[in-house]
Amino acid sequence: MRAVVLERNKMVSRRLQRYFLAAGIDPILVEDPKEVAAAAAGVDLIAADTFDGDLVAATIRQHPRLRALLWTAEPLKRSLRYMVENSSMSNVLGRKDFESTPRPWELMLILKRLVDGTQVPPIGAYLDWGFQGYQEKVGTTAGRDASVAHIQSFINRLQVPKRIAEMFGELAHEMLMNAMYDAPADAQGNPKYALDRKADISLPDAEQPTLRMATDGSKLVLQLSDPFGRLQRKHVFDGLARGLAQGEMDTSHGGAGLGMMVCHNSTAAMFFDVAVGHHTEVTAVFELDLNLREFRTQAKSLHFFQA
Amino acid sequence: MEAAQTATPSSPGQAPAGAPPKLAIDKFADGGIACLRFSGAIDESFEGKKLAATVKAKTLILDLADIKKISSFGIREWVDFIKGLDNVVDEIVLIECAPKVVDQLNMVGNFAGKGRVFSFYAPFRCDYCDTDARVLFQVDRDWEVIKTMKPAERPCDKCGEPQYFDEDPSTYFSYIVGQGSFELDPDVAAFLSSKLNYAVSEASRKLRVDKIIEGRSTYLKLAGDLDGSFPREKLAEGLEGTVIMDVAGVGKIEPAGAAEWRGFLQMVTPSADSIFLLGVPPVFLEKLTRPEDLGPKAQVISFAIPYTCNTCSTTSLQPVDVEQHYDVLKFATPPETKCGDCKNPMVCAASEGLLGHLTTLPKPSITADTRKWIKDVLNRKPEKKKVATTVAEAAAGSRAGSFSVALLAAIVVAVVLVGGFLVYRNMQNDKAKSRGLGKLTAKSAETRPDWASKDTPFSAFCNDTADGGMSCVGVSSPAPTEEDALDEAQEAALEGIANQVAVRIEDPQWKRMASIWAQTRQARMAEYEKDPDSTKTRRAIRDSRKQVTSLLRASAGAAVPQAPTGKYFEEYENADGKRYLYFVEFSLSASELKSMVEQYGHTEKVMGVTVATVFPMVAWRYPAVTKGAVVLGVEQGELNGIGLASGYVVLEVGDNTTMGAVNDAVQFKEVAQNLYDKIKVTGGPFQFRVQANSTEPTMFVKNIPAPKKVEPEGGGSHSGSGGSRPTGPTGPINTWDRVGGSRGGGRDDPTQ
Repeated sequence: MRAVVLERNKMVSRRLQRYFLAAGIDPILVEDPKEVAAAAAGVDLIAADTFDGDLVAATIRQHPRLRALLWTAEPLKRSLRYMVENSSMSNVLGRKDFESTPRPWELMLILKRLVDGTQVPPIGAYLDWGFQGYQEKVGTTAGRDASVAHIQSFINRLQVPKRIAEMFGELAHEMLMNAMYDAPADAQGNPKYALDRKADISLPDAEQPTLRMATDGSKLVLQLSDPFGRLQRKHVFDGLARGLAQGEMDTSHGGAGLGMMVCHNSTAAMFFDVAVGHHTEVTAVFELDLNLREFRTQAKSLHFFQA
Repeated sequence: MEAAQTATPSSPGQAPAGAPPKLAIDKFADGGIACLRFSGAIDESFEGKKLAATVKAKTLILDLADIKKISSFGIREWVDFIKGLDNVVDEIVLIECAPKVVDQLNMVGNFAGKGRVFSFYAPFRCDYCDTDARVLFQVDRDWEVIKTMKPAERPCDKCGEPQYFDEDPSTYFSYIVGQGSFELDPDVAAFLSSKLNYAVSEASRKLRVDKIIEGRSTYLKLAGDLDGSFPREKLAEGLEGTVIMDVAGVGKIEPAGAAEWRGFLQMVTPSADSIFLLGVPPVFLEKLTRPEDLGPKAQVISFAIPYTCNTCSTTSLQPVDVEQHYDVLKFATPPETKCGDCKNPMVCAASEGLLGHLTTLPKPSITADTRKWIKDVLNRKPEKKKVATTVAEAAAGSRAGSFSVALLAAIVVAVVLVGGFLVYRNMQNDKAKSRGLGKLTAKSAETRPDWASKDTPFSAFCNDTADGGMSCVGVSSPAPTEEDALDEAQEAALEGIANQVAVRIEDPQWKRMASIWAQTRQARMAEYEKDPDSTKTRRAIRDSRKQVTSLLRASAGAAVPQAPTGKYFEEYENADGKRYLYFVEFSLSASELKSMVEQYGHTEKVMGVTVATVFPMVAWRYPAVTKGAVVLGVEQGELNGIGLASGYVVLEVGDNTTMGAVNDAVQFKEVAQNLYDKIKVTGGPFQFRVQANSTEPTMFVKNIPAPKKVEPEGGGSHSGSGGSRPTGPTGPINTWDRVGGSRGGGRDDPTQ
């Protein structure tokens, strides 16, 4: 696999080269945007800062086979604009500033996935070796609340600020609501429980989502899988774009807008894996080494993979 | 009023019976004001529309301090709730918003609807002791900090080390800054402070007195807190005949206020035929209506005690007529009453002690005519405050009993500002009428003096004199009394002097002090220019000027002229009545001016911190600060890193046993240095009480380690071993210390 890597900072570019090579990708390093057009012929991937999003989008239009990988030190809003308009852009990596590479673990994970196709990594791929965690099936409304409480108690045991546990509890509630009420559908594809989210439900085994919660001491990872695969790309990108748009939040209709915002506000990185009609897996990552003030201002990552 | 901590299944937002409620909603109501207190999670189970339908109030207060979680569907329900209130209530006030709520305000455009946020919590974190804290910000009190979006670090309540604001401030404060500052309506403030014990601004709790006199009957309505500044002499003056005291609006009662009230009743009792207390609130009832408090002539006509409706989950104060229910009250039994909304029986929520006290209330003896008059007075629509009077005038009117019937029919309003006992005029809102001064009807001299060369109302101007001195002239606003106008002009002139002294101090470091007051002063003056008829803005300026003047006189001593060198006034008359424009001139000799510039411009440096004595103009920003040392700069030194910064005012310095007040820069230097020398021998906290922003003063603490004990040469178990192994304590060791690193702020110093 070959990739054009547009990065104006030489130091960052060299480090990126290392990661790309380690992942089995042959990078063509480009510092000047003018060189991209010539370098893009015959490659599989174009990677650049969102700052060069227009150029990336134009290059994709010329080479429809190309996939794009963005990184950014800015809020997600700008990247989302490109991702909403271009289905080839489904991955953006947050980075600390323009002199840093994206987080190495995340960059490697994404590069490997771009190389290896659709193989969904295990939860351990998001964590350092030696992590601790648990998984459980959630089948009822009461089970949902118990699961949220379990997550909060798991995080509180790490002696981190209480607000983090509360935030993850909120995130878990949001993800479980989507997995339990929105995802299940009948044979015709009609949602079974989405019409009344106030109702107490009890899901049969085959419909129950699986929740995984784990930590390696520096990251928290919450993962939720449902056996339906009904989450669409537009739910994620359009919903977030709507939520992050200036002006009033659209609360007039359902959909994932507000829910996506809750997820976005609670995580450093979100990963969506969808096998259409089979399963949806959402993975939320939070970095414990940042205080909340740093967390709020850091650029966030968003990844969508569909098989 | 006690909170009804009930979470009934029937309330919207509650869990079904048996399950613990996710969201508890407590309701409190008093007249047209209601408060909903939310605790728990707002999620899909919250039913916004249903809750909105149960609200019956003109002003709705939403207490959101205990919101723990808000889900996306909860947001939708919340927005439905807020929208549902649109046509139900006139005003929505959000108080004590939890950080979760502030996040939603910033994210969801219509989260507050037409509501305004009065107070909110900001999250702070201390990494030293690993604790989180919430600090309450109020838009009226803390606006200067809020609008800068730079909340200062504050000492941790637990360990004293600095806590930092644990959010991105530009995001966190964005909604509130966009909304702007506002003050609570006095009735709402009184409801919150007196009925629900919330913290509201001091100004909102000041006692107000409304007075109506007809024939030999006087009706006095008190609203606000009862404290030591209760003007008993002024109010008691001239009271006779039948006196009706409406105390329903009385909030907190401080011991000194209670004593003043008792003294007031004792003064009135001889001259009054009878004294009736109306609408006595629970706290007043318990504290001030014992037989010895009431004396021989005072009687409680009606009081209010809390009742809870378990159906509506509402707690409200219900009026009780003593005469009507005397037969049950004498057995300490509250009368039965029904909920005004659902008509179901309510349960009395008063304490046993309060109910027991009811047995001591005398049966009122009141004539039908007096009852009718009270009813008539209470039913009157409050008229626009048209005539501004002082309490003394109102009292004098009562004494003379010479009001014509027509005048008596009008409400005479005496607005008493208890703090400084200043009385402010209520100008008519009709700006067109008040804009012109009207016709000049009198003046204190044949011609306006030369020194009164400018007549911009509420201003001051200064001129250099030939001998190197200075003269400052203050001009009053068009005031309804000569006395008021004189006071205003004097204060304006003296503030002008302070301003000119500040201008003449050339030390650039000292000039940094001006940043403390410049913005506040400029903002207040701009507000006045925008709306000269606003009582609020005039009062704010006058309060500040009064405080500046007072500080100037106290600190500059003989350099400030005691009496004006010139006074002149003009009397005007227009449709609103008479107006007085006063001019006052103060002159300073060259030596007086020089002495003030030198005195105030003096700075001291100690342990890396440069300070100057608090300058009187600081009162614009910090009215409570009367002395102290203002930090002008921090350089390398023992106090570097403690958190002191330019513009902070050090009020007290101390150690772990005592705190001593700092009067001025010289004293700060002396006390701080002596204390430091003492503490560094023993180790311990070196503490500073500092006014860092418009909130309460905060403590800055530097923990000074005790000097290490030196082991005698050759001692210990490793003597004679050649000295290659380090000696020291076992267990966790700060290796930085062992390799010779200093603890003075190096990047690897774990205490930094």
